[in-house]
Amino acid sequence: MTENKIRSFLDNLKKTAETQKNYGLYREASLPVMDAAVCPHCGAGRAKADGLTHCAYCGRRFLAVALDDGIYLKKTDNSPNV
Amino acid sequence: MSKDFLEPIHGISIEDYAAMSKKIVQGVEEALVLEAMGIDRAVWDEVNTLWPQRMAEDTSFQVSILYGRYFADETPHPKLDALKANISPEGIANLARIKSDRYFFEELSGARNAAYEYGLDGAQWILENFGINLGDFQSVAMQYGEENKKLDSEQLMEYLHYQGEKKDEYAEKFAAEQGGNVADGVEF
Amino acid sequence: MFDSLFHRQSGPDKAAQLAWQERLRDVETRWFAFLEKLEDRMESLCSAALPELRALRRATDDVNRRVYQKVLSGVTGQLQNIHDRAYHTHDEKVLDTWYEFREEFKMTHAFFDFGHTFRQNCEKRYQEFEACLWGWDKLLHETSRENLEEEYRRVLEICTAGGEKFTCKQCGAPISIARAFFISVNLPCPACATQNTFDPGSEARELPFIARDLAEKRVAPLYEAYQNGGRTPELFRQYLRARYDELNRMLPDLKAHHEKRYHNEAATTQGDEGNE
Repeated sequence: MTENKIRSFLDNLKKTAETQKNYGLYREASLPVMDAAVCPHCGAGRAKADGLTHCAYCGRRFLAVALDDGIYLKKTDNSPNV
Repeated sequence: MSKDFLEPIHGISIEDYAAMSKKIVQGVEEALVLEAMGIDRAVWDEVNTLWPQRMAEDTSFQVSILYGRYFADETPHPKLDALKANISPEGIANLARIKSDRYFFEELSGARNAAYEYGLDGAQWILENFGINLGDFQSVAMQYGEENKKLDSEQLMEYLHYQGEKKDEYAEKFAAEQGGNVADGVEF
Repeated sequence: MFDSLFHRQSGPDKAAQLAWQERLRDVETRWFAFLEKLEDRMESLCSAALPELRALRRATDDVNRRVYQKVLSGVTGQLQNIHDRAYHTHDEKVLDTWYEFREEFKMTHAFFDFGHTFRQNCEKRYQEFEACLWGWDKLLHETSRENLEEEYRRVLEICTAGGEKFTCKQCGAPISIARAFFISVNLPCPACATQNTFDPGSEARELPFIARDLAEKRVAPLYEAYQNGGRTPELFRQYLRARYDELNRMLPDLKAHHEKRYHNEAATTQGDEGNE
């Protein structure tokens, strides 16, 4: 009797857990990808030497912030002469 | 606390970080939040790793306290105000009510705790049944957290007691929906 | 012993004592039987739930990991329900009886010992019940850590994109992912120097959380040694150092941050002796 009751309790619990939506899982699981940003204004890519914050060709802003020394990003990644 | 702990990270201050996190937890698409702040995913990933690291490193807890205050703060963020989460009319009404009616807030807190104990995602349950998203709920919880500092222990106990009572009521409801508790029928 | 007490006592309260004797024995028997039945239910619940939880825990996607969390929470919720049942019954049946008895028989009364033994027996049994409950609770929660090594290896593989070859978006030259990245990173193309952004994906972002739990698990024997070895500051330091060394090995890019936390923890928690 108890065994049956426990079984049906666990089955109900699993069913509830499986059917209820999960909060905040709006984003689909994503796989590793490689991409490269191009300037929305002139279409140029960003070369390492030109920094990450501004387009070396037309000066258009890529990032609205100045980079600090973080984990992989470094101050030296700020575009020069802007 | 060292002053360095509050220096912005890649130009994102603790105030920005709290406002961004809140928008995302409210359900605004992350890409839109990043775009509004003028940063990309690589910058955000670092910011979103380094601010929690600072909170863990700061033994005075000031960074965490400030984060909580900014999260609770309803002053519109200049760059993010235009981004609004989708909230149903029922959700808007319920959100206003948990802000003005402490007992209603305690009831929903109790219900949420009971939901977790019965294998439900409590945040999702609140969203589905009352239309309030987790970001707004946490924000109101933090506002009451600040207010609690001004209350005497008797008043605090009263709210806690009420929340406990409501939790039991909802627990009974969830138990009934799931065919009872496993210890039902065990009598003294 | 109680019979000899009765013989020493005589007078108007003898009948009351007899009634109390019967009542206390009855409450004690019921309390023991009640806890045993609750323990049986706990055992049936947990022994059925453990294999289910272990199977669910092997899920490798977000949705099913949430299912595991919810089922774990639902099962421990039932333990909480059983805990509360015992707590309220202890309050209403055991303690109230004891308080009532204590009102009638003061500590100096010869019959007081009978009640006192009742109380001690009930408390001891209650403690055994609680130990049993927390034992199950621990086993249930441990399912979350059982296959951490395996999970760590799996996610680490994802962080290096499993050796997959990526090419530069600008010139098509190959870009290799030389080490594990758990967040997005800009990688310059070795041929044309264009900054490409590698996003290791949603699963890779779990790495810091897995590493934190795994570091704790790997040095658990050192924590036990500290607990069982007189809780000395030196044993605590050994455990703490080893935990952060593990973390540094798994997440070398966050080493500077780990070290700050190591120093904070080492300074504030010196082991019990250090606090004396």
